[in-house]
Amino acid sequence: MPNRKKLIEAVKSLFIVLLLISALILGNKTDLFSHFLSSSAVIAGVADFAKLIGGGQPAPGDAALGGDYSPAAMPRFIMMNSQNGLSYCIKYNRELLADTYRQFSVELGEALGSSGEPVMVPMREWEAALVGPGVFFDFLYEQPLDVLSGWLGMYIDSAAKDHTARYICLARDGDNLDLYYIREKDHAAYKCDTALSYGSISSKLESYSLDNSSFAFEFSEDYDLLDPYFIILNQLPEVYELTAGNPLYAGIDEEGLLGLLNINSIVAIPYTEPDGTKVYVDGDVTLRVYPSGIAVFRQSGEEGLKIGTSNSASSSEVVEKAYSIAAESIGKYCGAAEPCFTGITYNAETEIFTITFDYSLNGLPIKRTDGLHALEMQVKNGIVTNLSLNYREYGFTGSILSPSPLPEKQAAVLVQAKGGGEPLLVYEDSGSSVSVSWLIN
Amino acid sequence: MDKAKIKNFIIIILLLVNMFLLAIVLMDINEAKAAGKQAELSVISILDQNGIRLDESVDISTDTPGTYVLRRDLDEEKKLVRKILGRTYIEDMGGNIYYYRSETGQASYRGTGEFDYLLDAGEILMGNDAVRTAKKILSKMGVNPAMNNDFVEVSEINGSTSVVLTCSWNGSYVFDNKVSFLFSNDSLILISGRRVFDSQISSGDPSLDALTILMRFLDLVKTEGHVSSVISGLTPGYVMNVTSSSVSELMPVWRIETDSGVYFLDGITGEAVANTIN
Repeated sequence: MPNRKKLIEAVKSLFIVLLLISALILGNKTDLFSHFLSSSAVIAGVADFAKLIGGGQPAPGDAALGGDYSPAAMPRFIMMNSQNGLSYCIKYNRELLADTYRQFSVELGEALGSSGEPVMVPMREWEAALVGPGVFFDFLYEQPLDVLSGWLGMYIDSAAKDHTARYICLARDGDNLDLYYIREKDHAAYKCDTALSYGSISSKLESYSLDNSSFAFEFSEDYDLLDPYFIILNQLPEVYELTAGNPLYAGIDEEGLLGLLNINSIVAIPYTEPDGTKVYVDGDVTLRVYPSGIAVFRQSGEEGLKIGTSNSASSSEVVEKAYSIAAESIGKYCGAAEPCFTGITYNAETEIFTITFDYSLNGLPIKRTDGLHALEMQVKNGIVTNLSLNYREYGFTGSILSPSPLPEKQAAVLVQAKGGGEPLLVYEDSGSSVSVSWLIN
Repeated sequence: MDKAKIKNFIIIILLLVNMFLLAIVLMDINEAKAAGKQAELSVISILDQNGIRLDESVDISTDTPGTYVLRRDLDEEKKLVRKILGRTYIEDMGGNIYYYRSETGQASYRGTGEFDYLLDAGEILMGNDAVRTAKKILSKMGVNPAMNNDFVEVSEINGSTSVVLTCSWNGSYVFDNKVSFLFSNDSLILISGRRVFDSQISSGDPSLDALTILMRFLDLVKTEGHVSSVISGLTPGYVMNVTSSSVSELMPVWRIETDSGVYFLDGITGEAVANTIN
């Protein structure tokens, strides 16, 4: 008998729990108790559980949709050549560049990932590839191919992984698609077989059935002093006016910056110098945040801001670290611009990597007249020894630049007359204003 | 009051609360149904006033598709290939491209979802119904073919039969994923197309419903000057965007069939999608 009573009481308890859950589910469906349910974290958690059972909307943060490639890896100029011999180039339009790159980035990744051993080829073969059916990418700055392929989700097995290239081309070879590039080190052209067929990009190429550009080398002697791979557009697109400012006036998240640089914000109490510079010291690490918008980090010890866990770092790891720092610091305050990877060098004697990022807006590089980079970082033995961050905020005024810059053909003629080089259309930031000019790169 | 009586009291209170809440829920459901019906009638009336008739066969209460992110699962892919080719030798070509070879044929699969099969003659026979055979093979490959024959194309060229099927996923069409089957001398020799990836890794909110899409279509007709007088089909489905190798997004779209042509509207923005899908 006592056992029977116990069983009945146990069933009653279970029934109470079920009725409570049922009431929560029904209450959630009526929204009668939504305010009450959300006022307590515990009850809100139970309510979310009830929502899931009741088939309601997923809790915020559940939906994280698929990502995109890293903008640090995006080419500045893309030219598509169709089978009909039409050449369509996209320049100076970030949105179009991003959309077009999105169309071909998977194939570029597949080509890099499946590339065979690179073979040096004559320049005339490289130039034939550029004007034949295919797609040409100009990243404006040398890209380590292993880093670029990593950004595209691939891994290079061949010797190409140790090469860097600014110009890359996917070109038709019969039914196949070959990978060509100019290697920075020896300025020679290389070709790799890939596992791709031309059919993987042919239908996309045919949708670009406009002709708006040519390479400088296609004009033979007219532009023989110009960079041969400067692309001359028939018509310059609109270029917009910019404003520039120092985001430090409005304040930045200094605690976030300290965390990003592995500086202990409790230990590193700041002091302010007479000129307004804030200085944080944490052992061997110093961070100075100048009122001009520059932050300088120095580390002399072996602890602090490390890359990975070993005492060395590969170029890919260094680039990735710099990119993550750029994205989480200057990248949050640059307005309409974005920090882009612009170079990495390695000094074998000092064993130091130097890596730079610069601002870019709408496909145009932004050059500071004082020569400062948006980010410049030095890494030795896997430790970040020096880092400078140049905070700048850029925005559009809404107006098209007037007068508009020289058309590309005229710029090409001027550069040819001045002795040659590569004409480069840039925004120039003097600190107080931003203008557009043609530089000789 | 002893524990047993307290429990009885709590049970009675909770039962009353549940009955009260259930009554409210049922009332809400009825009100929502009535409001939904009213909205349907309003939309039909607005379309009518603008010279567009909604065919009776069009189902505007159909579920709205959401957004999904899917990833390629190599183990699953290998299993599916084995169902067609039998025991295979696998070659990793790099770039997420895999070649599968067996005694009966070969296949290649890419990180874009595209695949090709080249089969030895006589291995898979066409039979009396090429479409039926094609659908059966597609199902074996883990790809669900479209449920009805609206999305089946058959053609005969020089004694060869070509069947093109539109794929579906979770009961909805993936309009830009098609698979072609080429039969020659009554034997299947070539399969090529693009598939939906194997594993769902995340999902997003449901998209615009049918009534909203119809109103967006009306805006489109007015702004772009299309002349449509009958809407004869309204089908929710997806288009597939490969965001990076081996990862794709299924984006919701609505296919609207009219007497002036077929239109695709983005299920999230309601804007027209470039008609390169069908």
